[in-house]
Amino acid sequence: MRLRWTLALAFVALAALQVAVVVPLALRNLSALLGRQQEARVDQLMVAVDAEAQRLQGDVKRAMDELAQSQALEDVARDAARIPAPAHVTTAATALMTPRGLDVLALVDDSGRTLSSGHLPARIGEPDDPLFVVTKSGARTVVATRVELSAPEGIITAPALVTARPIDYGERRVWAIGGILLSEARARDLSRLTGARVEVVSDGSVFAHAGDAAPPTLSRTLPVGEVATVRLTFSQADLVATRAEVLRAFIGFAGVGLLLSIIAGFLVSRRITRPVEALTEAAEKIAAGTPGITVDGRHASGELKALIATFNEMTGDLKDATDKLVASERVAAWQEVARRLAHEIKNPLTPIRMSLETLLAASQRGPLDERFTRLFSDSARVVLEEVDRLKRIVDEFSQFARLPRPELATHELADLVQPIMALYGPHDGITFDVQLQRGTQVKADRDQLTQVLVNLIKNAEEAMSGRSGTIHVRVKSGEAPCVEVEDEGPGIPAELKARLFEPYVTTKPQGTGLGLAIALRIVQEHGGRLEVLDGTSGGALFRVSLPTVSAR
Amino acid sequence: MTRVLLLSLCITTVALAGSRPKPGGTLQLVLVSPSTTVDPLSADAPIDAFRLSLTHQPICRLVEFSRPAPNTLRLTVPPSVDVKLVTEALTRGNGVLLTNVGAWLVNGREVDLPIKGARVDLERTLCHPLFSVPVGPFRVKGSKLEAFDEQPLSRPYLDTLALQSADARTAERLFAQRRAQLVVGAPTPSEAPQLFVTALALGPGLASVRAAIESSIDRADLARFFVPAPSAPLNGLLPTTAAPPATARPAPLTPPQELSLLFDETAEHERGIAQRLQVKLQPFGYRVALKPLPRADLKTKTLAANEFALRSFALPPSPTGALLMWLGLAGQQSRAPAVLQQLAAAPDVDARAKELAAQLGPELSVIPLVTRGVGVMASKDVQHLTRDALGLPRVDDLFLSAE
Amino acid sequence: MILALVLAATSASSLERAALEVSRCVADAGFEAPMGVFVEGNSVPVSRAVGSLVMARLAEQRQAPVPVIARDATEAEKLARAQGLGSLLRLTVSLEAPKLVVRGDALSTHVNFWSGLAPTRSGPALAVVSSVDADLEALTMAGAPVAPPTAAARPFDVLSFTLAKTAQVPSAITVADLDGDHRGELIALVGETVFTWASDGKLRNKTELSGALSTRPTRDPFGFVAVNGGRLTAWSSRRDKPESFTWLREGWRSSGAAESLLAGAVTLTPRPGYASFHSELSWAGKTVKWPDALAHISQSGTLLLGVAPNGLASIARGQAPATQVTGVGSGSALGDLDGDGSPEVVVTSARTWGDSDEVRVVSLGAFESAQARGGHVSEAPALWQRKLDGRAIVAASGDLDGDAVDEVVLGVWREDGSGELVVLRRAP
Repeated sequence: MRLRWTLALAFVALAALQVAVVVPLALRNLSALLGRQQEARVDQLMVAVDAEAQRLQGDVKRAMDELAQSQALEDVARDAARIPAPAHVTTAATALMTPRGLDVLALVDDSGRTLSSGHLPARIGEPDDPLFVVTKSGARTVVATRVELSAPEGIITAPALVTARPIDYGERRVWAIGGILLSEARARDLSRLTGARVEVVSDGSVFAHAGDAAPPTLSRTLPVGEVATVRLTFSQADLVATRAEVLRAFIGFAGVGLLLSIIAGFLVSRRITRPVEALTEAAEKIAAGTPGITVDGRHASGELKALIATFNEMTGDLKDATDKLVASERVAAWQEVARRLAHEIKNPLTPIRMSLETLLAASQRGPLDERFTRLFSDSARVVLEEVDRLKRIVDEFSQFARLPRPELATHELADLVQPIMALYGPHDGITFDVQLQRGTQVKADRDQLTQVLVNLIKNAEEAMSGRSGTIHVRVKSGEAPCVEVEDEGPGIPAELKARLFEPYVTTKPQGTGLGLAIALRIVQEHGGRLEVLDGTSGGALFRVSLPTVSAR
Repeated sequence: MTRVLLLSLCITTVALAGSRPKPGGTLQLVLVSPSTTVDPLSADAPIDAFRLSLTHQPICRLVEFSRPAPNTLRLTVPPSVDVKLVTEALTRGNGVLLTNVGAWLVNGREVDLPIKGARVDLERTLCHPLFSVPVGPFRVKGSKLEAFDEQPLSRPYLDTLALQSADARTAERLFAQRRAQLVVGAPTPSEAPQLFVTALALGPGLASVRAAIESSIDRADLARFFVPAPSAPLNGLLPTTAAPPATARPAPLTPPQELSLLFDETAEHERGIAQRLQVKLQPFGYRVALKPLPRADLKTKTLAANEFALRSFALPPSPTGALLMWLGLAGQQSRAPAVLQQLAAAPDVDARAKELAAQLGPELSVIPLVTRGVGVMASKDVQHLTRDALGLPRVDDLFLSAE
Repeated sequence: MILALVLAATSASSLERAALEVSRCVADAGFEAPMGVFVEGNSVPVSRAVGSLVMARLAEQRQAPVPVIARDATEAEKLARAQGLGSLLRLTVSLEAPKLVVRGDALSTHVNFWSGLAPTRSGPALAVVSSVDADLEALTMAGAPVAPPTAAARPFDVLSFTLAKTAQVPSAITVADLDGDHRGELIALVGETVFTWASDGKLRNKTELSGALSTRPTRDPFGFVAVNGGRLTAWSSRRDKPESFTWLREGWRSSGAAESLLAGAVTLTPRPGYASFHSELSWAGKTVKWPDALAHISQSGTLLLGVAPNGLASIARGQAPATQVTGVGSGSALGDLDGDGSPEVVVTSARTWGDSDEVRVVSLGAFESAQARGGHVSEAPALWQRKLDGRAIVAASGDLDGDAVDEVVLGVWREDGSGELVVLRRAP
């Protein structure tokens, strides 16, 4: 895995680890905190509810005190015994009840008979014993009791807070019993005050309720005397919602952080690894033989910058050294060439000198006889042979030196190889195995490439002289297209491999030593590569790789 | 000196009209009612019937009655009234039950009704609002009611009625500010006949409730506390019946029985009575659920076994008609022939009807409760305010003194 | 006030003399100024005049008189205290022919400090009485009938009696001599029936009207009966057309529909739906436009009394009247009750409700004088008057008993819906 990805992953992993550890911890703490706050709020609200209940009781007391002092009730007390009761008596409760914010008001004579009822006008003239009991409960206290009301389903009892006040007119006494119902309206008020679902539970069933509390919930109850219980149910949905909200926000932030850390990690690692990669690439290039590579060190910093500078210095030195080496090698090579050429040229000169000295000696010894004639012809033939040989040497050398620039054209590689191979047939125990894979287009000079192949095949034939076997010629297409020529000869000694393409290096008695050099030169001119490898059957394998033309 | 001045001023004021009723003028009329129905079928409340009477008139007032044969009542329809309107009115709603006549013959402008039994009061029965035809003293024109000229009773003295509806307090205020000359439906006592009845119709099998109701309910209390004045207790099927003797209280039921009490949702007094019944029946072990219904639904409703209903309607201003009305309410129309026959044989029909009413009262599954009338406040300049057979003020008969 | 000054200037006037006597009474009693003056009396102009004159005299005596306007004497005293007046003079002026009498009291407005809630007076107080002979001026001002000094005043008295009672209200009546015995018969339309009574109250005939019904009848009973040259024209508002009858052998024989409502020289046109006739009428062949629709007419010689439904009435002589009297009921008629050759006017009140009416007999002159002023009929002094049970809505005049003096018959509407025919005749 590349360093860049390794680094980026490391960053991401670090960030993810942080999220995984921090979020649950934070959430747990937050939940606990919110829960405590909720409890505290509910406790506060219950205090408020209690205060509201006290206020209601106070209101009832005040309203009833005021009522007991009113002229209207004095009139009622005065006329209570009249038969039939005058209208101001029978309608008194209804008229007096509403303006004072009371839900319940009954005017009752001392025998318990209802003179006027505001909450159940139909009660008029009837006794209302459960309500009348309130008058016995002592002075001025607000009592929780059950009050009968008319409802669509029949007469119902409703929990109420009431208090009784006596109104005296001479001997006569009239009771005003009034108060408030624990009704929907009260529940609604409480619900508005607390935001909770409020239920008035009386006799085990819900008498009135208001508000709503989404689960999960928290309940508190408040007893109202012995007749009812007020149950407040607080919703904790907002707590859950807050938690979910925070969780979502956390996850969101974590996701964004993670993404950012990936991007940052990638960017940072790229920043760090780019010079390293450039160094790697440059090193690879240098290893492949491209000298003088420098790395752009502008984006690097610190140690890497120093490293790049050092590397650049090193490659510069290396190039200089290589250049110097190449120059000296070239001088040495040319010295060798000159030496070899001199040697080659000197070799024929000896027979020529000897022939000519023989002839000269023979001519000085006597007349030109028969023997001389034979000797002359022999000598002349030797001289001619040697001159031819000289000429050949000079021709080849001049060819090597004057190799023209290739005229490149696009060819199918197989099409280049096939006509050449048509010229070769089995001979002297040598057979040819030609495998042509089509599909590789190359830019090449046909004549020069032909020269390369001929040289390689000739080299192979020469390597197999005196043996029988097969020469394999393969054109390979695909990822690495090439032409391979493999013989089944003795192979090339390792020490020779390095110098094989140098001019005048040959293993063969008849070779000039320029064939492979010329082939290499041509291939290089084409921008290709000529390699020598060990063949599968112990012989040599020459591979020609040429730059391909893209399919387009 | 000043007294003399005032006296002569008084004389001048009242003397500005001839001895005859003075025609013309606009009456500022206020109805104390949210309802402005003009449907003869639903004129069950006095105020509704009064509103109807402004633009409609019952047959009894429009046609000339004669009896060419003992068992035939001839209605001579005046030329300005379509005979078809009269025959339509005769068949409206349960009108056939009230008249209980055979198939009539129409001969030109005469309609002959074959009477069953000796219906000496059939003419009066036809004064029931149910038999109203749209030939009234007034006709709606824009926002006002204008005198209708072309009618047999002649145009009313007034030219125009400026009619508006208001609640009782607003009406009283308008009257005090002299912006209303006549307030109809005001809660003022009245001596006029009260024929608008509220009764309890019992569903099948509720006979046991009857004893509980009869022993506990005080009709005078009902009228006094729960029905706006003018109102009176209705002790029997006919308005003049004396209070019945107290009956023994039945023992409370165990377990309690669930009952449904149906009433007209638009009738406030029915709600009051219904609640009173709730209270009164509770000690007997009846749990009474209240079911307010639209008036039209209530009329067509057939009572189930555990249901009873408050029904308000106008009694015909004749004893026979009233008895037939009660039979219809109790769903016992089949007894009508027998009742008519008994009446036919009696020398004094009204007296016999009273006896029959007393006899039928406990047999029918209805309990009469209260009657209502219509209270009126009239300013001084409103003259000759009369009432019709149902106790409704007759605006067509009144006129304004000039000022 | 101008009148008062004028009167004060003529010291001979009875009013002035009375005022002088009153002012002398209070002059030396020591009343504190300013003095309030409150005057009441049965004749407003006389009371006012006396009050002004008394105040003029009090002003001369430096009493600083202030008029006190109050409903009655008790209120005047309260008011005087409230206004801070020092004393109060309270007078009642009455014309008790032939005397003009001023009675009253003068009192200090000071209140007994210890009197408590109901104040008791303190300070001077005295009674005031003054009686002087009423002169012509005072009598004229009071509107009292001035007896001609020469005429040996024969008292004008009228008897009234009920001739007949009817089940319904009579809608039209007339008096005509049908049989030539110089005694008129009374013909009345009651409902749809024409009743004919002899002068002794005996019913002579009942005849039903026939003919098509009207599509626009009137609500209250209304109709027309008149006898012209022995032919009766009768019309009820419930009928479309008038019907003509002739008197033949104790009965009316219908001779079919009549064209018009002709009564003497006057032809009337009914208004459908209304209990009145059109204001345009034909009078001796001439079209006359009366100021109002007519509920009732009555003729005497060339005079025509027309009464409108709103209580306006006029007596006209051959042409439409320009002015009218107010407060006249439709049961009014012209008739020479005293046989002096000039008709009197029998006037009923214009009351439209109740079961009582007031019949007054006024002289033609007094009526026409009130008419000329456009005043109320009560301004014309009554020669005779009495209360009537029921309201007269129609009236007719004629000689019922053959004494060459007219009787007036009133058609009365009783509250119970029945009718009565009341005859007024001069007491012998």
